Amino acid sequence: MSDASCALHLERVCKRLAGHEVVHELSLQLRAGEVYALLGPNGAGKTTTINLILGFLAADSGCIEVAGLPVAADPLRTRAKLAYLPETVMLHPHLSAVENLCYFALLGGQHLSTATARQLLSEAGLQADAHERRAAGYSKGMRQKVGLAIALARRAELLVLDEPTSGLDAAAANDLSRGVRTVAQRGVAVLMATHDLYRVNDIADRLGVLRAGRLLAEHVTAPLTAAQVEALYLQQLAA
Amino acid sequence: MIAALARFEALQLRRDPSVLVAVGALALLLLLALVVHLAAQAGQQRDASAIAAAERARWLDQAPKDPHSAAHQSIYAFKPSAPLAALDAGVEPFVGQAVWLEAHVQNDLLYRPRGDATPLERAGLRHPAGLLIALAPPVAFLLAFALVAREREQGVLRLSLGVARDPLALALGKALTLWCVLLGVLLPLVAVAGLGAALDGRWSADLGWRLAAWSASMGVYLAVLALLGVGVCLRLRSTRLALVGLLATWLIFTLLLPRVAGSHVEASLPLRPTQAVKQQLQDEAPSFWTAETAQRYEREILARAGVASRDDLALNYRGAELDHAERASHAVYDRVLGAFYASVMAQDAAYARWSWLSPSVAVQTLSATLAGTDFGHQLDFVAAAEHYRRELVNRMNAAVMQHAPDANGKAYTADRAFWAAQPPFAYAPPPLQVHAARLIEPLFALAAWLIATLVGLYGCVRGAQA
Repeated sequence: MSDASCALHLERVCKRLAGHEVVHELSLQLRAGEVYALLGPNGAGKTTTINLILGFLAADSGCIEVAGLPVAADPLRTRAKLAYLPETVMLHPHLSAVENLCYFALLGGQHLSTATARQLLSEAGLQADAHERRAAGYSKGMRQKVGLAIALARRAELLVLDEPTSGLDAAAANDLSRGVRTVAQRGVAVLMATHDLYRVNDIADRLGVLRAGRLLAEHVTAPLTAAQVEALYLQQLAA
Repeated sequence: MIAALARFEALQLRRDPSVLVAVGALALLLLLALVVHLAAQAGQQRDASAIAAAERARWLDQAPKDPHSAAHQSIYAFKPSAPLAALDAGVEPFVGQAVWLEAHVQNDLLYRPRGDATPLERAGLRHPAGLLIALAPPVAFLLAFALVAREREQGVLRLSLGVARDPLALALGKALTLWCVLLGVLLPLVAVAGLGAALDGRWSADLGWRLAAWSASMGVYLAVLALLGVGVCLRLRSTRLALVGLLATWLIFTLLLPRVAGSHVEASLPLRPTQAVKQQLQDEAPSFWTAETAQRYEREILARAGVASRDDLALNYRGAELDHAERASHAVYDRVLGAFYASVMAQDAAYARWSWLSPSVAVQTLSATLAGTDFGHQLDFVAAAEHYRRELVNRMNAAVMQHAPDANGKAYTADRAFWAAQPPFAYAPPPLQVHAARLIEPLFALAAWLIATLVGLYGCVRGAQA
């Protein structure tokens, strides 16, 4: 059982898909306000781990708790405690950012006023002139910002990001990183699956290296430079 | 919350009207079919009224003659088309709208141009109800595809399911939107049908109940389609699979099962050939009788009167013989035709039992009964027309019985005053409650479908993956 300040707790979680063990005895913990970067090559099990946390997949063994609630026993209640941003945030193309935000907030059980929605979008970094435009014309970065606003609106205890900076230009990726830090400063724990080694030490407090479903190592990022993160990562994978 | 979500879904549909083209096309098609049938129905009613008036005039204007001859000259009885027949013609085109009422014979109804139609046509495909039952599923499923499967393909559904506190609310919001769009097709149809009946002077409380119940049944059917469509799209994890699943659902429930039901009913409860029924009637209740039959009649008439010879009868023997033969035929018609009609009703009941396997069968059965155009309603008219025929012929024969030939041996003849004393045929269909028993099974089946699709949607949501 996790302690009360633990936003996410995984204990010896295993998952097999199509006869292959894609997650093997994975254990990790995130405290409130902490940003954790899960690194790993393609097929390492990052997205499967996220699907297990979201309750989209059921673990074969082990235990997953979000804010102290077991995912397996009550996936809907635990889902209410977290916010999720897929690699590519896809919005309803015929709705504006404000409408999309209100819609997704409503799905989470919250009725947002237009003013609140605008404020959250601004906090997530979306320019005001885009708030009422239909999302069909948004860039990926703009959609990611709306996704971040959705996470903010949910007042979740855990934010799960799947490759959030993938495909973003440097400016957009920086904007998003700032947004993620803003969220964390509000006490939200952030779990981020990423390939972006050069930005990890700017965003994350800790990182873990995943390979073939096994967590090889965990490091505190504060003392590390981007080059050291890359070296550590490659060293872990080669070991 | 579900209603609020549905408003967002509706907003999207409004801004992306491409999928609504199909809905608009269906609505136009149904309204066109309704208007055409209302116009045709009004024309038929005018013709029937004119012919009925001409028939009455012909009856009144006939020359003085033997009343039994008048019973042979007789008249046509016209069945007024049910006020909601423009919505669902049911069996009306196949069983005829008029019957020739004459002495000795209970005739078949005439004017049934669709008598040799296929079972699918019997299902009323050419009328708004038939079109709605057959074509609402593909339109509903197209909308479900746009609201669910396309969102999955775009990646929006993953985010939606990821943030949804209650994914069932998400699914119900989509189903509610879809249902409201489909109601937008149904309600104008109901309004025009009601208006048509009112303008035709045929509005009544019974018609109001029938129209309300018809609308409610169709509304439930559309809700079942909405829930089915959303459920199938949620359950099947790719757009291709969803498309195949939706197409299969439509084909199975709307086209395959009603056809299988019809074939099964025909095979398990076959009807006697009409020719065999007619032959039996001719054999057991002949219009013209032999010398042997005449002798038997005479014995029976004398025995009933308690006299030894015709001369001792207080009645005109010829009239008594006609009356005796006529009444003897009634029992034969009741037995032989009654059994035939009962077997048709048994077929209808057996077909209705398939409602448990297909919501299309359930709503098809309900629609025709509520519109007053199923075989049960047809039998009401047959019974009323036959009752009138028997009363009329009995009165004609009674007139012959009461009047002996004059001194010159000339038979009694009645005149215009006697013809005018005979009331014209008037038919008022019985109210809906008379037929309520036939509604119970399809009604329960449709309700079961609604519950099953709701439960099924819950299961699909639980098993849904982005």
